[in-house]
Amino acid sequence: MLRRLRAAGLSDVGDASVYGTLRRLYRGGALTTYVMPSDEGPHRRYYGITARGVAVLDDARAVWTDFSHNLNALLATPLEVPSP
Amino acid sequence: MTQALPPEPGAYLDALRRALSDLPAEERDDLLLDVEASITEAASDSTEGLLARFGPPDRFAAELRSAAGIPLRAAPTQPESGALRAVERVVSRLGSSPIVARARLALRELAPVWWLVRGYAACAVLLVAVGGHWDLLRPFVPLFGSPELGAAIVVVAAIASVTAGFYARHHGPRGRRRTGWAALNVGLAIVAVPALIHALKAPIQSEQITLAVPPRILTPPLRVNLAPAARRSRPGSGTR
Repeated sequence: MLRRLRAAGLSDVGDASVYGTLRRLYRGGALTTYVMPSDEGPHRRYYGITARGVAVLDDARAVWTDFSHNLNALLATPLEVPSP
Repeated sequence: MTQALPPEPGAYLDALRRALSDLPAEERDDLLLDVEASITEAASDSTEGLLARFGPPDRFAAELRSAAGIPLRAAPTQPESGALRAVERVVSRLGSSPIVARARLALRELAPVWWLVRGYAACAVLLVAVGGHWDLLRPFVPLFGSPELGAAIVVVAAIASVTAGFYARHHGPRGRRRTGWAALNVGLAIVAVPALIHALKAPIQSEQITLAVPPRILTPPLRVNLAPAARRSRPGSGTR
């Protein structure tokens, strides 16, 4: 997940933000988790998305699309500098 | 010593654990499970140091907290007692100030005085519970049958209260019992106010006794036990 974020150019997103966010989404019922015990090294936790998580994602995607569309449109309009 | 650079994953994790030490252990371990895997992995297959990759542990912990929606230095995992926890937080913040610390030390020295008062207040509660009354000539003596028995009960209650105080100081009650103990103390402190006001009243001289002034210390109003001198006079007849 971190690799995907980095590859997408979001290199400022730290590990802590990702883990913290996963935790919050899990508590909000958007994710399921299970822990895979490991003989060598620490246990690994895997995350899966729930139906609620899909709904949250769709909602967030719509909000973001709307917001970014509007802001892009606003920024695309050339500034009208009043002539002196 | 969080300033010392932790090069080992173990040390880094310990530093994180310290920074999250106010969280319930379960919550903290849960939060750190993923981080642990990631840090161990990074330490084993990376040439860059853990600090370069993850930054200082304190900052990492703060970021983890904010992303997880956990308020800084707070434990909101028990919403059913949110108000109580908020009070506890305020109290614990106050408790760290040096003035409060000194005051607490002084109060600790004075605690035995409170224990005596507490025993007395417990007697007052018992007196009201059994429907007894105070000695009119010596307002500080509760009449449990006789003034002698009342005085004996006060002494026993005081000894018991002081013993309980020392016991609680050394083997302090924990958890829910602690809350119950604190509630009992607060209750008795409230009772102690009218009880002490009554006890410190000037004794009524037998000549002054009229039926008009019943010594009310607690609701419901107590029945008045008049001193022997007055008992012989009839209600409404006033001072002899």
